[in-house]
Amino acid sequence: MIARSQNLVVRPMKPTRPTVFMRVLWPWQLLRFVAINLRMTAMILKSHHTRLPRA
Amino acid sequence: MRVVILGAGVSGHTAALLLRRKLPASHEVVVVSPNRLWNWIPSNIWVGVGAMRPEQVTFELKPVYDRMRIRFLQAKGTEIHPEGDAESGPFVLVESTAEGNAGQTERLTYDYLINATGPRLDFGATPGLGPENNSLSVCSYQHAAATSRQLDAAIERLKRGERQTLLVGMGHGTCTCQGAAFEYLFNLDFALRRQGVRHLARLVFLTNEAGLGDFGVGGMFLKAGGYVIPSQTFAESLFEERGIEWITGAHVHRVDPGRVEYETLDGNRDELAFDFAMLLPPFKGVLLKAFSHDGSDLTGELFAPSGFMKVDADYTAKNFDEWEASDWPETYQTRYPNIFAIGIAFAPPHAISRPRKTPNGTPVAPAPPRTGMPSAIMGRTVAQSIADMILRGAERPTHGASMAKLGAACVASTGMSPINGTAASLTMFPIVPDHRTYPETGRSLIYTTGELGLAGHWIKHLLHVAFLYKAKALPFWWMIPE
Repeated sequence: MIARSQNLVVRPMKPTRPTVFMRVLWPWQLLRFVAINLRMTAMILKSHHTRLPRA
Repeated sequence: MRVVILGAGVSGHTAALLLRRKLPASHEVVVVSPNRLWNWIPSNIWVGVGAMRPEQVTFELKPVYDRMRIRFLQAKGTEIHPEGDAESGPFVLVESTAEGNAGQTERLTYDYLINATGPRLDFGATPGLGPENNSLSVCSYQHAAATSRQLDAAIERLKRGERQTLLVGMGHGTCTCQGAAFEYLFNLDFALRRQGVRHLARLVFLTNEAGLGDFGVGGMFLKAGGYVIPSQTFAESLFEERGIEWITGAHVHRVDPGRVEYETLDGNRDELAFDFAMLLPPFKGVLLKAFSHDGSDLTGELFAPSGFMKVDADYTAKNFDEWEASDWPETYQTRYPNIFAIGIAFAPPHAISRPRKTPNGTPVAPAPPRTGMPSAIMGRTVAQSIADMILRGAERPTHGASMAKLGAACVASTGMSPINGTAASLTMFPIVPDHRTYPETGRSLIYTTGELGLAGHWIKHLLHVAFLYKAKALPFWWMIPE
C-alpha cells in the first residue's frame, strides 16, 4: 500500500496504538456512545422539519 | 379514497404505516410488494459473513399489515395508467407473485399512487456478474445467505493453509451503494481475523469511486485535530491499518470464474484472479410501463431512461459544475399530482460524485445513493403530504424533503462484536453538497462528522433492533424517528 508520487514515497496516515486502543476501550466508548447519539439526534431533528411554507 | 403503494422497502413501508396511522378507516391503504418478507437490508452484510441468520433480518409482511388494517398484495406492478381508461379512473396493473396464483393479474384503481419499488439489480450490465454467474452479492437476504456459505468454504480452504484472494467491491462503473461494499469488506476482514486465518488471505477492494471515501457523495470534509480533512484520508488510513489493498476508479468489464477484468480511469485494462468475489451490481428502475387514456405509451415521459421515475427535479442536461443543489426534488410529486416516487425509485437529477470517463470513453460514474435515512424521510414526507391532500383538501404537497436540505446519519460497520467490534459513525449535512451555502466544502463542518469505534457498533446494533421493531409496527412504533 505504498503510493509513489513525484519520486516521493507516500503512505496513508496510520492511527497510533493509543488511538486504536481507545477505539475499543469501554469507558471511553460509553462516553462516545452518548456523544454520537446526541449528534445523530441533532441531525434527525434537523431533517424532520419537512413542512413547506404555504404558497 | 384509496392510496396504493408499490413496494414495501424502507420508504414504501414507512409511507404505508404512517398513512394508515393518519387516515381514518374509511380510506384504504394498499401495499403491493413482490416479496412476502420484509428485509432490513443494512444488516444483510452481517448475514453475508455468517454473523446473523436470514430470520434475524426479515419478517412476514402480511400479519403486520393485517394487524394495521393495510391491504397487502404479494404482487409486482407492471403497468401504470395514470389517466385511467374507458372502464375506470387511474389504475395500476399488478401481477401476483404469491405461491399458488403467480402470474394472475389484477387491475387496482387508486386515488393516490406512491412508487417505492426500489431498484432492479442489474447484474446483466456486466457479463458474468452476479450469484447466477461468477460472483456473489449481499443485496438480498437470499444472496447474503449464499455468500455466507461460500465464505465458509473459503475459510475452510484458508484453514487448510491454502492462500486465498477475496475480492469485494462494485461490479460496474455506474454502481451505487459503495458504503455497503465497504461494510462487507471490513466485516469480512474482521471475520477472517476471528478465525485466525487473516494472514493467509489477500483482501482487495475494487471500486468505481475515484478515491476511497467517496461513497457516491463526492466524499466529505471533516474537522479533526485542528484541520479540515477529506474523508479519503480517513478511508485510506483504515485500509492501510487493516492491510487491505484497493483499486479505485474501476469499471468491471467482465467476471469469469475466478477472474475479473477491469479498466481504470487511467485507461489501463487489467485482470485479477480471485477465489471469492462479492461484487455489487448497478441499479436500474423496475420494469414498469405507463399508458395514457387512449393507450399510447407514456413510459418515456414518466420515467428516465434508467427506469427511475421523474419527479419535481430539474432534469435539464448540464455540466457537472453547473448543477445546483436546488435541482434536487423536494416533494417527489410527478407530472401527475396524485403520483409520487420515493426512495431509490425516483430519478435523481444528477450525480453527486463527479462522473468521469476513462481515455477509452468508458464511464466511471458512481450513482447517487438514496437509501436508509433519506429514503425513510421521503416516505414520511409523502405520507404527510397525501394525508393533508385527502383530509384537508390541500391542492399541492405540504411537505418537502430535498436531499440538498436533508442530513443523513449513517453507521458503517467495520466489525461485528459487542466487545471489540467497530463501526464508523458518520453524519453529513446536507447530503447533496450546497456550494452556495457552504462554498468551501459544500457541507456544514459542524454537522458533518465521523469517528470510528466500538460505540459505533453498539449504535449500529441498536438501530438494527429499533428499526425492526418499528417496521413490525409494535407498540409505540411511531415514536422511533426515521
